[in-house]
Amino acid sequence: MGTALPPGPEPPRRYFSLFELLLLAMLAALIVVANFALRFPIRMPGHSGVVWMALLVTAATIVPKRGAAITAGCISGVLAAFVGIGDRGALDTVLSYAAAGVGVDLSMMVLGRGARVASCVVAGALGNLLKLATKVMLEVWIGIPTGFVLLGRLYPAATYTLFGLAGGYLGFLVVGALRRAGFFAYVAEKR
Amino acid sequence: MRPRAQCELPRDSFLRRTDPRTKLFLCAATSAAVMLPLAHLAAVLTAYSLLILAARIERQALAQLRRAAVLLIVLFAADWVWIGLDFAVLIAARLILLITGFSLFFATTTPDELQAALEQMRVPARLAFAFATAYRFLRLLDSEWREIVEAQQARGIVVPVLSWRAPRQSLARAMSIIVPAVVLTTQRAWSITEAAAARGFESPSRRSSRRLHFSRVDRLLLTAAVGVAVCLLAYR
Repeated sequence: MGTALPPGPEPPRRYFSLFELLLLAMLAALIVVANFALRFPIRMPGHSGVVWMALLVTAATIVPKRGAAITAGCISGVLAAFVGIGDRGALDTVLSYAAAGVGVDLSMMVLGRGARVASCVVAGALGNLLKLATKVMLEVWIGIPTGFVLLGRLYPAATYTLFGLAGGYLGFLVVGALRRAGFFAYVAEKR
Repeated sequence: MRPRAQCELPRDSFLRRTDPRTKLFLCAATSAAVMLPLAHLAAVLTAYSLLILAARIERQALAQLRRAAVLLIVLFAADWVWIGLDFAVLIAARLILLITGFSLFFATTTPDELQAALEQMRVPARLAFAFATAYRFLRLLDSEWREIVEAQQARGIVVPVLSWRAPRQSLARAMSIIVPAVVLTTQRAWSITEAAAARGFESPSRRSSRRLHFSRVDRLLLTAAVGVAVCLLAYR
């Protein structure tokens, strides 16, 4: 019998496992793809938030840890900047995508990450509104008069909220369908 | 969607050979310069335009500006009418700098280079790896998304999915595309995790295969940027 090899160094414990990180990154890529591929016949500001918020809410529910939506939001922002999505430059794109993730995570921290419709709907609305708020803050930062900005953003604020609510509800439906299909048990095995 | 391949980057740009960390610093400094008064801002804008021309990425910067042209024109006109020409020029210059501020970085850097830069900036390697992997899979996810849409169309589900007339049906149609997309994405994430684990990605003794080094051009660019900042502060 040969002598046993000494045990190697223990890998450090991580907050997100590699699978969770890759899953969030791939869902972030899906957000970028959906934003590009889905062209709705609605010409209203914030309408892309429907599928966007649905995917963020889904990501935050599949990986039920604080910071999951922020991670997905940040990665999707950088990916979108590389692909060239967004009409106000890369900084605006990265910050607004990340802000959407912050909104979803914040509301899920307060209302809980369960399968409740209220938490999903509020998360969607807050995420989409924070995305708009980031654009407003950038406009105010460069010195555009606050009155101009607020006046110009009244109507978008209403549509962003509406589409955010719809996106959150769609996220709730997606999570429900995945749960019924046994998807969460499958993911729990992998985690 | 066409995620950019490495061969699509401007090959003749000298910024292709510079360290991504240098470019990130330059972009961050340019974006911070947005707060300067008009005279200083004009100096920064001129220096930045010269850098973009020297790097031969003016086409990418102009493409960014073209997308914001309507906003720029409307804002310029409104500022001029209600406040004054000086203010209109100041806001337009700030907006131009903000919009084009990061094109220098994104037009000349590949995600793999960003991954290496992030790792050397002590961002967790796993996060940098996840980002670069997601970028590599964008094209595949895009074609998968289209396949799902075509499959659902073959089953009689009509896309585009969102309409005011039947909101509930619209959401159900959107769900029929998102649910399979999420499931396929999860399966792909798991297979990449297994492949990475098999190659010892999470080993504590893992070292990054790519090391970045500051070259003479990097040092020159950083010195020039700091020089411009010092001059602007001195002539305040």
